Amino acid sequence: MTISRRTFVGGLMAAPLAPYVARGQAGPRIIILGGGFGGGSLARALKRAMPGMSVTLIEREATYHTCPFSNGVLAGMWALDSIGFSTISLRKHGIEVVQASATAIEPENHTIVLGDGRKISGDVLVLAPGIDFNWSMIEGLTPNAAEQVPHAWKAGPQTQILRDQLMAMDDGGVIVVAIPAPPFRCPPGPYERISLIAHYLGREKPASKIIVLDAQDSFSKQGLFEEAWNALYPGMIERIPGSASGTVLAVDPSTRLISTGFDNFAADVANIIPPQTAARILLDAGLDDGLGWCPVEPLGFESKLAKNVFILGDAALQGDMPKSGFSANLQAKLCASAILARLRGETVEPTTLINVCYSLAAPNYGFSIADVFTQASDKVTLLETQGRTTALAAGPGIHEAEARYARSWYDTVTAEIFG
Amino acid sequence: MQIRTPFAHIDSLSHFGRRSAQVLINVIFFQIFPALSLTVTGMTAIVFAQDTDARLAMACGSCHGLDGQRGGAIPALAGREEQELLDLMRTLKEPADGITIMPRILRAYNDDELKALARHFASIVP
Repeated sequence: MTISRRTFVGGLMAAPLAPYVARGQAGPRIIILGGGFGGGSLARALKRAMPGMSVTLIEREATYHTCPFSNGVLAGMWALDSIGFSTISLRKHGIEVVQASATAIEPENHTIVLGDGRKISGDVLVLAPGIDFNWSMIEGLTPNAAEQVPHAWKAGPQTQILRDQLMAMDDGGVIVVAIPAPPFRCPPGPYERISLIAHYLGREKPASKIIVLDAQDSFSKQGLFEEAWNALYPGMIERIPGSASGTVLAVDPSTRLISTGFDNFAADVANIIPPQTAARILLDAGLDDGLGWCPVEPLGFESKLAKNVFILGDAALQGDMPKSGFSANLQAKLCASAILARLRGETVEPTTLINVCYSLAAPNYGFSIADVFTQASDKVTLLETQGRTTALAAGPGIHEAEARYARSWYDTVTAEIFG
Repeated sequence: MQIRTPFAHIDSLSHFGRRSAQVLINVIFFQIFPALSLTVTGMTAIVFAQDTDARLAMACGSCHGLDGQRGGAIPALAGREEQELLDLMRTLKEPADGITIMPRILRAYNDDELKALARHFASIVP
């Protein structure tokens, strides 16, 4: 076959896969949306492997607050500042950080559109923008209403609002925690939150109650949480599961009256965690499955709907992996390896993945779920389905050790990303 | 000769013909990437896709630190004796008093995988 000069030049002008040539770059440019456990980890992994690579990270917030360990802020165990990490300072590692909100994704030409109209294009897009809330599922709930009935499910100012409300509440108050139907970010997170709020109340406001309005019937590490609640916070927590009409249908933000359709609850503090989807920007770009989550292949987490577009973390359908910071961090490292392999014209082989989620029921009372996954042809698949959690009646030595390991994991992974 | 190239997804180039575009990208790859390939070969990489052992070990790094280098309360793995690491992992497959998560993880790994992990972490200079 021969190639006419016209075709060759035309190909050069049009080639979406080699625009770095036109820009005079010595290599491909990687554009990352989101500087959390997925995007931040990916940026660092690429720069560690190839310091000269062009890596651009678009992140709205100058400070990223981690959802892991944010429940400890609510309980007054540590300050919000201690879970905040500078995204701007990622520049010292050679990452081009663009502090801006993104308004659109153009997957076909690997472009992110920013709020000020700028467009940032590269050869590979990695999208890790996390979740958004499906406000309309609860009548009366809006982004503005969340100032009064905080979700605190994206850490940061929302965490502080809920902390301040808990501090201002009188002893004997009623706290309602509303939990949505799955899937949502951090499956055990709401129950850790309930535990640590109870820890705070037990010390400061012991006549108070927590009412849990739960769209779920069963939940992650349920036996371990209930064992801890019975031991540490007897009589303080009342949970109404989905099958007993626990699903919240409506809320009045000004009066904090909450309705399940079956019953009404008057709250002094209302923590309404709304139903969730992948970040809206991904849905608008047509990168979801029609049901609000983004399908990806299991080796490098490339979108099944767009080439050279990778989707990490909570926004994606990651097979059997949960929506956790641990998972997003590991997906990012494997994604980086897949991108680098593609640069060399190679492919990667399936490997073995882990997710460990620690939960704290009290400052020195931890437990975990530890899972191992394989990259099967269709999805990341859980290997062992039984005995995945800390045993019941494990004893204080184990719970104390797991609380230390939880902190150790957190310090290690945040240092990997932001250190 | 079949030459695989980076970013070989060329679906959007249909009006120029995929094969033409593939040839173009081959040219770009071999003109521009030799230096890049050297960089990859020379690195002591956290991310090194050719290295199956390193990919397998990535999951461990989330707690034990990148390449097993640091992990706070969780033991470092880098630079330890290969046989010591292998013996330890084989032992930790079984639940025992005072042991928390390792049996739940290691039970899913076969002995070849444990050997690969031991080999990998022993080869890292701490």
